[in-house]
Amino acid sequence: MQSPLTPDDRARYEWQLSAAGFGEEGQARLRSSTVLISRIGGVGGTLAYELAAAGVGKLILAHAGNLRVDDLNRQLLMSDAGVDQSRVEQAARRLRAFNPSIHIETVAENVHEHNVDELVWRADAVASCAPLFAERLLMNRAAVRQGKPLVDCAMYEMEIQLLTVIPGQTPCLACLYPQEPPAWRRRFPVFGAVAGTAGCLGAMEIIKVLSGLDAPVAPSAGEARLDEPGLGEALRGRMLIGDLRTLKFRTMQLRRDPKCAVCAKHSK
Amino acid sequence: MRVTVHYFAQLRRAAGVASETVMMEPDATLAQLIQRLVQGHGDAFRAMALDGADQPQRTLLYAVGDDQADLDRLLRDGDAVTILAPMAGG
Repeated sequence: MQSPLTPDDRARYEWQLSAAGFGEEGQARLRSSTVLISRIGGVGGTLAYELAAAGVGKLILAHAGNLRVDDLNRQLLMSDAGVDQSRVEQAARRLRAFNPSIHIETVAENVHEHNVDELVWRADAVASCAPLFAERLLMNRAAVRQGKPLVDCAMYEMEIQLLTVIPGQTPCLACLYPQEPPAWRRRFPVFGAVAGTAGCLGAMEIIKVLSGLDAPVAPSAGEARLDEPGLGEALRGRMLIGDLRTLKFRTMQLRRDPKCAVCAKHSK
Repeated sequence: MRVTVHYFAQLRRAAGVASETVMMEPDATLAQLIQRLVQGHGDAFRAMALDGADQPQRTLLYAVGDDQADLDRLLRDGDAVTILAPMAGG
């Protein structure tokens, strides 16, 4: 049972409360949810901003290191004055000022083998926004083992990819990449608007999964109505591929790997 | 038969084109298509498309139409093949 919204909640979120299938129940679910975000760069920072705007109750931000001047073309939670200062603390300050009603926890380190299980355990959903596959695959493994949904948001140059993992139901990241792909390099071309697009789309996937908007209507249920509670569908088993050079978007139907070392034992 | 290939991410950069059309023998497989594509591109493409044993790289994602496909998938005239290099930019 979710606690009812306060008058302040109703005022702050008025413009989204009227979204079909969302309402006060969806808002209350967001308020009682915790999301782990790794990391809070061009993708994760924008994703964090949108989750704070939507009223997700608690955000755990994991990101090591200080801001560099070449981060500033995409990291909207930072400032020019913050160069050489902690990224994660700057992000937390900006988010707390933006929405004081939510809780922000900072972890001044990246996700690694020794902290991943505990960080994922404290969250209801995971936003995977790290620039290295090693971190993404670690979070995927922990999320699948713990039954937590994970949204993998990725970009390269002017392209984006989005994948939502519902453990036991959909392919996981390791179904696609059983090992770290050797070709990927840490350094990649990036426009802030491309990274931010991936972050916004990823935030909406998390909002759907947490609020109850991820509830596809079966074809046999007849014509879907916009006022049906829960109408909506996350990227279950599909990968969104977007090319911002041409503004062409499509989804690709994926398959679970029955031999996947991570998720094969977690079928439902 | 005529097959259209669409490239994404680092593979697009290595190919130097976003898409291209290739003529293949009837009933060619996806793996045979990859070997044909390697012949038409440079070393950077080869390094991404093939593994150390010169076999099509399994860390790329392949689709025929909008469906993920295995390398032994038989291709048909008019198929649109998508090859996605992995991306993890944040």
